[in-house]
Amino acid sequence: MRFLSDRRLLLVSRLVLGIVFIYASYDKALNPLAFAQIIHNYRIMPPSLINISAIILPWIELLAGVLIIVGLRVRGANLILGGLLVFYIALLSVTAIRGININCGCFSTSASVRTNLVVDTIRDVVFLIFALHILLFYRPPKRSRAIG
Amino acid sequence: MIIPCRFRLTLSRLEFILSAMKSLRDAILILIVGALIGIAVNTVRNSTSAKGLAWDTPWPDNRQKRELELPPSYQPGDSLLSLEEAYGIYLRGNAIFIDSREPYEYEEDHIKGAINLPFEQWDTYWESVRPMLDPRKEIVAYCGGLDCELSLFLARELKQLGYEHSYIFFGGWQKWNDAGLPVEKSEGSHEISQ
Repeated sequence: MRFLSDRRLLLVSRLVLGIVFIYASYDKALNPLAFAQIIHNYRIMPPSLINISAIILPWIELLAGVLIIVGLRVRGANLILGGLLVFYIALLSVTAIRGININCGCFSTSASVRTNLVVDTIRDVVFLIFALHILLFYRPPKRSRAIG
Repeated sequence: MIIPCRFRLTLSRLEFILSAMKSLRDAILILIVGALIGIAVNTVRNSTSAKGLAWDTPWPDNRQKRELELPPSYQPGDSLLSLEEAYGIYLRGNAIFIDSREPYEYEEDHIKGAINLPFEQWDTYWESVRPMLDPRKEIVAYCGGLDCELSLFLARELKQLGYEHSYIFFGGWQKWNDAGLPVEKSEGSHEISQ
């Protein structure tokens, strides 16, 4: 299992997670109204929190995605992205169980794009594996030793 | 320097706790900075163009609602039909009814004369359904109950493809069946060769 701590392998996980979240945040950040509509469609959020969530969530995803790629505060960014994935997995599962047919809004804010919530959930579980890899094996480089 | 074993254990545990706390602190920092960027961008957008989002829109509270009068993704421009309107079109006999549910649901029971175009399997079914459609005719898309929006998405897709008279009979199957209107079964009658 030593290979899991390999820095190149960890870099791959960071790149995958970062690119996925930057890509996911792009459309939502550009179209906050459409994203608010998607959140509303989940029928789970108090109305007063819908707009503020649509305004801030894409930027948190974008910031954490950029940080995890460039290697700044990687473990903190990974906590955010991993936490979001756990939240999305729970949300998508509950929505699928409730029998609500909607676009998940994961990568596109177009409500008429066809998505299958079960497939979306499984995809998020796969992304979560990358986050767990970083959580368990990433150690920040020790700068002081490198200088010494 | 030689550190006794049990102290080393305590030290590594301390190191772990410190590193976890640092990660948590960073995460909170990213949350706050991300939220502030979002708020700042939205403020700028609101003051310079109409691209921003109002801070508070009076969204209807739909958390407890199991049944909706309007589809959750309803947008102005979607042509909705009531049961009475759908039945009126049905009676004129010139319209095409499309069942957007899964084939096994369609086979079990569907509106009499309807054809099956499962929206979730559009790519598989579209080519075989297309010859049955006519852009000049009225098309009525329906789905299961009021929780199902496939008819909405199907009608929008058809409109985009040039079938301008596409309507959404939201909650169609449930309303139709409850009203005791004409239905029929079909067993394996709609197999698609891939």
